[in-house]
Amino acid sequence: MKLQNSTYRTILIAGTGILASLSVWLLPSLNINPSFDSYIPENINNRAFLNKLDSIFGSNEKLLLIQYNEKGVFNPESFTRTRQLAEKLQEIDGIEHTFSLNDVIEFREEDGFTEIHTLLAHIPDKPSELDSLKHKIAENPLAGHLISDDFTTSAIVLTKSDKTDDQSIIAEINRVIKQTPGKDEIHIGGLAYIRSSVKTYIKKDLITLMPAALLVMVVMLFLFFREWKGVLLPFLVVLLSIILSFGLMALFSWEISLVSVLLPIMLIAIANDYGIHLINLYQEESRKNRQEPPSAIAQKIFRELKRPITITGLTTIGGMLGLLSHQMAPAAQLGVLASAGIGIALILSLYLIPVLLTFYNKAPKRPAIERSSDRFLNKTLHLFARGVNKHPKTIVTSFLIISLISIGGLFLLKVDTNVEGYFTGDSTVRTSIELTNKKLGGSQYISLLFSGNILEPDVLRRMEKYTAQIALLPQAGNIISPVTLFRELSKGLYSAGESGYDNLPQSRPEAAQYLEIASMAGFDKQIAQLIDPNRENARILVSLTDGSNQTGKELLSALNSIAGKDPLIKGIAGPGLSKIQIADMVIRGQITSLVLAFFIIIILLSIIFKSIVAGIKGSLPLLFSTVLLFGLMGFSGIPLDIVTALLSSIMIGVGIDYTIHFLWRYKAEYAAHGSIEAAISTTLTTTGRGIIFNALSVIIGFAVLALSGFAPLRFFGLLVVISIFSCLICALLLVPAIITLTRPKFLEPDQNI
Amino acid sequence: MKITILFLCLQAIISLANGAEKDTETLFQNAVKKLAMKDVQAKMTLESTDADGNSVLRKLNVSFAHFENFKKVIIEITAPEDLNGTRILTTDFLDSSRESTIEVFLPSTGKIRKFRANNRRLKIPGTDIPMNYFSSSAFNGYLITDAGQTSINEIDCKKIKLNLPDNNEYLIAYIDIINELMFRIEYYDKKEILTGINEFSEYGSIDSSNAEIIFPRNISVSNPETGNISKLTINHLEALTEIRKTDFNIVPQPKPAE
Repeated sequence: MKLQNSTYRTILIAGTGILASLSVWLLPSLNINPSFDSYIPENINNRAFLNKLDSIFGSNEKLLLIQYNEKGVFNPESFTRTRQLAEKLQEIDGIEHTFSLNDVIEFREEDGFTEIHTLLAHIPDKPSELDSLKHKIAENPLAGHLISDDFTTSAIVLTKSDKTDDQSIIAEINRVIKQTPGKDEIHIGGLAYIRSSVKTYIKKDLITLMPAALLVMVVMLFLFFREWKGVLLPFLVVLLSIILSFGLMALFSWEISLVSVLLPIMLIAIANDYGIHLINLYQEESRKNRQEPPSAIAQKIFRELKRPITITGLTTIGGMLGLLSHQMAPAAQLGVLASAGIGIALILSLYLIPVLLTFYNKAPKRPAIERSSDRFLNKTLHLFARGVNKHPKTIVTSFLIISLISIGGLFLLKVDTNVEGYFTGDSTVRTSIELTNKKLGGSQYISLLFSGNILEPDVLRRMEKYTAQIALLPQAGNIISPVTLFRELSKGLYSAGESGYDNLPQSRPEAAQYLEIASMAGFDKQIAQLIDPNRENARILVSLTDGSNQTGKELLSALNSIAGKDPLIKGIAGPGLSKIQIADMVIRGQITSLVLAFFIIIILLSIIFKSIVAGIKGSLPLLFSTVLLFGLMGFSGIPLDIVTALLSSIMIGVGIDYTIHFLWRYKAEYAAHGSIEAAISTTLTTTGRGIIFNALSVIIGFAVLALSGFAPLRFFGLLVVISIFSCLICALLLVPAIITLTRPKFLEPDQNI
Repeated sequence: MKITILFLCLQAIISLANGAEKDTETLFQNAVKKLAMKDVQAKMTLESTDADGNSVLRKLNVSFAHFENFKKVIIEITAPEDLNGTRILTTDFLDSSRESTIEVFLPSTGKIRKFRANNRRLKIPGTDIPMNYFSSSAFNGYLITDAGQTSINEIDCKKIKLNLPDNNEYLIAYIDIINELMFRIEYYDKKEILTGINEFSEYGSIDSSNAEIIFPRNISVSNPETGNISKLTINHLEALTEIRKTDFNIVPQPKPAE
């Protein structure tokens, strides 16, 4: 027998060992990339425009250092701390620019000299001085976004260099905070901080979820099989498929993203299925033929299950390959890696497990007492069989009604790729997001870029009009506009009462000369945030009051209608808008991956059962499960996002297995018994058991995601549980009911045999 | 006898040390004097480039004059077009009790703004060059110490450290010992991180009625932290044959009819 051929065994085991070792060697080269912008192809809209903005104005990435005290931050101690923090933060490598109350300029006349001071040049300590400062802040639009209306929260805005790693910047900021103690709470806000937190959570999830899922798997396998080979062999296959997939990731120089966290969980849930079927049949055969040596049984199970396991593996891979249609690179990469991982698990299960089984000399122990769970399971499956055989129309009608109701939920489904929603509860990230959005007008900015003769008076007047209109939008938080800068500069050049005071320049040379004075006074950096050195580009910065897709879309639409037709407007973009593009990609990717996955499944089923009808009817349960899943998401308000968008491909790839296993066994039983009722009963009580174990392993594996620190991953886990459960019920009830009603020819014995 | 010899040796050492310090200070002051031009008019080009390669060009007419009680420098921007006519006037009084000033005239509005020259925040627009470079008060109040010697382009240079009292920031000036010419000034912050480099090169000279005037044709100011570079090129320098106070008013005066 080939399985006992020592050369064959050596090559197989050694080859597997070498590949695994190589993969382990490559693993340290893997990087985590939590950035969402990198999900968007470079040449697309917002990202392309962001690159242009960066080339003109430098980095667009803002971080906020938030000082909060419910008793107020409008006091000398807090101001002193703000100044100290701003000075230290400016020294950090990677911080291009800081802007705080310490940088807001005011012009004053003293003894005939123009004095240029910052608002906090003198820290006020008398009540009258504090009142005066409040008045100045209220009158100075440049200061408004740096302190909340209730004076409980103030901010230092940091511009982060693109070239600096998020983690190292955040670490440095934390170091500065530690070096500058005080009574106010200090929080960090901004996309870079959220990304850094996502990276931390990804690492944490990989460290906690993977071992947890493996442990759950081990416990489950032992409870099913009650012997160690039933645990070790599937476990080995899973472990090897995870290692080899990640090795492949490293080989391709792909990065671990938020969606990559799903890969090991998916493999743990799916890759052990083949091993489960093999061990299940091995135990069944061992019980029936106690005199047969284990090596012979191993050969037998290989022969019997090679085809159905290959088919289920290929269909799962087909479902995963649907992800290749995603424009988002990480999703497509997951499709490739998951397919590779499942392929590896398939090969190892079919070839390695039987080889390893031949090393066992003793027959498996006979269970002393039949497990009560088996009796319960058998009773349930018999109940299903009776139900299907007696009331197939009722079952099909019930499924139809549920589908129709679910379609209603489809219209309520929303898409939200807002990363702020990833953090819930009272996490520090959530607190900083709340403070940033509610007290400080948001940290995600959109730029309206104007190019051309931007210093012409009529252009400035138009910008002023737009600024006023934008200020009325509920979605707009802070507005930082060149016209605000010019008005403040005019206060330094004209005296109150003069026509030029608090007014825009009346000519282009006047505007240029205002900027020259500001540059002379050392405010180049502040100017450079809004107007480039060549005075050919200017922008208005508008912050989003929250990071949701809804707000982003509404604000973008409003900005387009306000300023979109200006002859000098070159574009409207910002880091906060990337999520809208991601959302669009998510929707497109969801539709295309679904269509592609269904197409692949129908083709595969048609080939397997040599019938197009088989392809179509075989995919009906999946169609039902998909509609149910998205309908449920719509009704419960769970949004479609970067993570949940991957759900349908996984569900299709996994769920189709149950249908195939059922149809395959049914066809054999029908050929043997000639009776639909008998064939259904036998199939349900034999293969049905394996299908339930299979589904339970997936459900329990994904249930581990409930431990994730991320809301989308927790939702994902819940939705997988629901969708796999629905695939299971479809396979055990809907498929047999359809067979009973339609008596498909492709399940009848081949006439030519 | 032995005590007398010891005392005399000690005195000699102290004198030598004092002499050395005085030489350092003298060397520095002489080099600064050469940079602080007197009674000349220059046409300059100022090019400022940021880290992203964005470049802005300005053309300046700069005149330096020493009067009886004060020194003036008038800078007129002649290009770009929008800034043409913008004037900056620095006035340094020889009487140290009087405050030096910097005035700015904006031709578009006719407005004049006056600033205190000791405001170190003030810079030549678009550059990191302190405004008081032209007012010759750039190094007032600095403590000067010897920091050794080095060689730049095979020229022996003295390294001179300058710092303000109670301030950990400092400068290192590199001065050609023989010709007393400033080659470079390095700026260090309190963490001893290099934050700025000024380089003076291509020294030339013109003759004036009083003496030979030596000046660097190229002055470069760079900031390693921001990547900004400003290059000041003196394209033409001539001695002023007549020093008129009216030429050094902040508001341009109409030229007298010929």
